Amino acid sequence: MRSFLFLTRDYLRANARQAGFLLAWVLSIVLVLTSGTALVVLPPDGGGTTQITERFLLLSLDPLVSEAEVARMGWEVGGWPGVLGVTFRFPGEQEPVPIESRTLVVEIQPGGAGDGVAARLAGMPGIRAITPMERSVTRLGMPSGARIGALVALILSLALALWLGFRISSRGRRLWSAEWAVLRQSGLSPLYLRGPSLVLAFLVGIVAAGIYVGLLLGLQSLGSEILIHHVPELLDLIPLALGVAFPVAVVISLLGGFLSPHS
Amino acid sequence: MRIAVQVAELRFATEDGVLVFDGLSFGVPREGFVWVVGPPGSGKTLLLSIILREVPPASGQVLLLGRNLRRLSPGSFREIRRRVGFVPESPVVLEKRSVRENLEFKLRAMGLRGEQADEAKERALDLAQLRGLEEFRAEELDSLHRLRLALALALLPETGLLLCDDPLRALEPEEGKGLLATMEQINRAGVTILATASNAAMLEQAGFSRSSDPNHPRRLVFLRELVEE
Repeated sequence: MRSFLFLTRDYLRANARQAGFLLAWVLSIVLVLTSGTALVVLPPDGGGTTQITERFLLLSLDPLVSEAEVARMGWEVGGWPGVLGVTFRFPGEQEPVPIESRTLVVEIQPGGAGDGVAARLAGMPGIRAITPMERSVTRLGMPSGARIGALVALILSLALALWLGFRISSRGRRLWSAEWAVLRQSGLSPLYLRGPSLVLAFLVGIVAAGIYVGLLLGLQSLGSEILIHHVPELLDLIPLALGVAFPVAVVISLLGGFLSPHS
Repeated sequence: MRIAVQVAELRFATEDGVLVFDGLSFGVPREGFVWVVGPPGSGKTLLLSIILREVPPASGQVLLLGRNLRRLSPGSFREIRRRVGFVPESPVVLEKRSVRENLEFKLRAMGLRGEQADEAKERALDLAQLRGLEEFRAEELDSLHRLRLALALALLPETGLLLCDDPLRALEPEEGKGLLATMEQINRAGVTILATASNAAMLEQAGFSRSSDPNHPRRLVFLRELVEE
């Protein structure tokens, strides 16, 4: 293990000579993640700015209700007809209104479809009060080409990330070719010697995902008001994006590394 | 006498069906110094590749440091391989690093550090006659000293058997004598050497002689005659 760490450090040091390309590789993967997110978040219909109405029922929960019970309740209500979604909020959270006590936020369909939900909830134990609320949301007017633009950006950035991965891994092997040859003469297997280049690819993926997550969290904390009003789907998507970013980025970077020649 | 390398009834044919070895047999005694001589294209490099288990023969047996290569697991072979140094026909050294850094790189890559690594490094520097050149970068060395550095690298970390593929090929006669002296010194320190050469003249001058005795420690064998041996 110690010798592998030494070889990895030596390989990384040799690759410092292509720091500019490494940075480009990282940024291309960030672009893949960002354009992929945009593709998911942007409304499919495009068009101009629209005004929509959202309806919620805020269920103030009894303090004695356990978390398991709250989860079970949310799961059950989420399956009712007329319910669009159920989320749990702690006191102090701001969405969709400032929350003062443990609350289940039930989003119901606008119009008559959600009318029966409040009556069904009234009969459930553990709920202290039900507060209906409505709000009007301005949806950002996305030109219809925005999704196409995101798709094109995704394809181009993915191709760029894979090409850079191939190029950097191949050049890295050239920069380290004498060391590789000395170690091969010593009987070390090519598979073992490929390890350091895969570690480099893995690190690139981790750094790219870290930058993407930083951007996403920064956007969430600095621009949450704008996001709520214009791209509310992004807020719902953030936990998923945080979970998916690291594996996706690492897979892309390792794929680029694997594409390089073996010797 | 114990045998370091034993090749028995080795048979190898190329993909085109050209029979390179057919019943090749010979041995190298422990602490011996044997040269296999043959013209270019006679299979010298191939022979060393088979001994290093990089190329499988069609049939025959190879015993390396007393172990049959065919019966060795990858893990056991790795253990044996650590004790076998190899200098290829075009030896590679780390051009931008000093002699000392070259040796330290290999030692650390093989997992050796501290006192054990220092001892191995000092021994390699002495045996390869590189004293005083420790801080020279490899690219600053002449051909003879680059080969000596390749020998020093091959001696690490705990080499008991050294395989050299035509080391005299690219050297001037005087440099060749210098390298031969270095190899003699390495052999006197207890390292078995199996080397190949295209020309036997310099080796015969240095006291190597043709012998049919497989236990002869300083033997000169000719590849074309080995099949009949």
